[in-house]
Amino acid sequence: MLSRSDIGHQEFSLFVTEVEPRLSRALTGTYGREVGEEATRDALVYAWENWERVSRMVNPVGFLFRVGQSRARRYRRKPVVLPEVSSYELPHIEPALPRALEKLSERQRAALLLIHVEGLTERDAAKAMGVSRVTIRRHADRALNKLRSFLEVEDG
Amino acid sequence: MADLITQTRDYLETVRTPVTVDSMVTYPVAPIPDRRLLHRGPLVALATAVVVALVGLVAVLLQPNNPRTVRSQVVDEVIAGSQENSHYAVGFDSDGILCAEAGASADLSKQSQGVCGDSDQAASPAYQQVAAAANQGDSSVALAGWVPTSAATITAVYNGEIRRSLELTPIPGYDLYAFGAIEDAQARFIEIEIRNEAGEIIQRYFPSIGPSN
Repeated sequence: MLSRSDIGHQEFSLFVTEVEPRLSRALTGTYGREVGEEATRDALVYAWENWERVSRMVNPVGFLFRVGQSRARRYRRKPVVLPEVSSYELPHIEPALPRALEKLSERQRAALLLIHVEGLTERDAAKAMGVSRVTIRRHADRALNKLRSFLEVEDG
Repeated sequence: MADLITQTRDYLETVRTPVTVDSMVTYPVAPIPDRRLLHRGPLVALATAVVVALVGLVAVLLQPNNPRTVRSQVVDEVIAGSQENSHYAVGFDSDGILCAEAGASADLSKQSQGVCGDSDQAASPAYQQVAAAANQGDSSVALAGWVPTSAATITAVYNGEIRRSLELTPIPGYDLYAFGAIEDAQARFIEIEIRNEAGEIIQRYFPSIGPSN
């Protein structure tokens, strides 16, 4: 028979499987690879420590992104540098995409990733970043426009 | 080429370092308490200690009749009274323990000293001084003591003759009476008899040797 802690452990493992990719992408894209990984790890540890509360959340990704955001500020960060992309492995990706993302401000990257990449609603994304819906929409729009402009593409 | 959003997602999926449950180094085996509670722990402990200390202090202060305090008061009163006219004060506490103090006279004012206790009474300087003075018969001795509440009368007897009846003073909260001071130049020869309502002697004090039944 499974104990309550076993059940909680299984639930949490499923939760990590579902949430971690989205959280990790958003934090990695916002803070870079190393800080993004640490922030993701810290946020998930926080989720475990507060599992009863987090497990009942409708939008855990947004909440944990905010947790990761506050943890990321603990790490001393240099300007975000994203890894080069291998055109051999990822031929469908613009080689200049990492540089274009680096050009965005931290808030613009976060807004772009939460709303457009991870599909959070403007309301949830705004809550996660602690800003108004108008503000986050403006950040997301500007981010997308800057990416298009930098990469000289029309779609997006 | 895919749209920018898809490209960004795929790119980040490629470059990110996956965090798994097993790779969470600090991952605890069981949920731990809310950190806020942990942070409050020392404060809670401190507050508890302060409250307990305050309650203890209040309990001690509110204790109406600390035996030692009452005893000290009685003996102090006796001593204070005796110091006006005599050289020595002697008292007995509730266990029949002799307390003695010498002083107040011109000769002994600088030697004032007191002792209470049942250990080696005979050797205590104050007791010896009291005994010596009493034996010489040239000093007065003040007496005070305690008796059970079963006592009905208390008398000072000299050579079989009742010299004085002492007033019994109840002590609230205790099953004891205090009896007042008696001064007599021949106190050495006085016995203190304590009788119950049936007239039976339930306790007898001999000032120079302490209580006896």
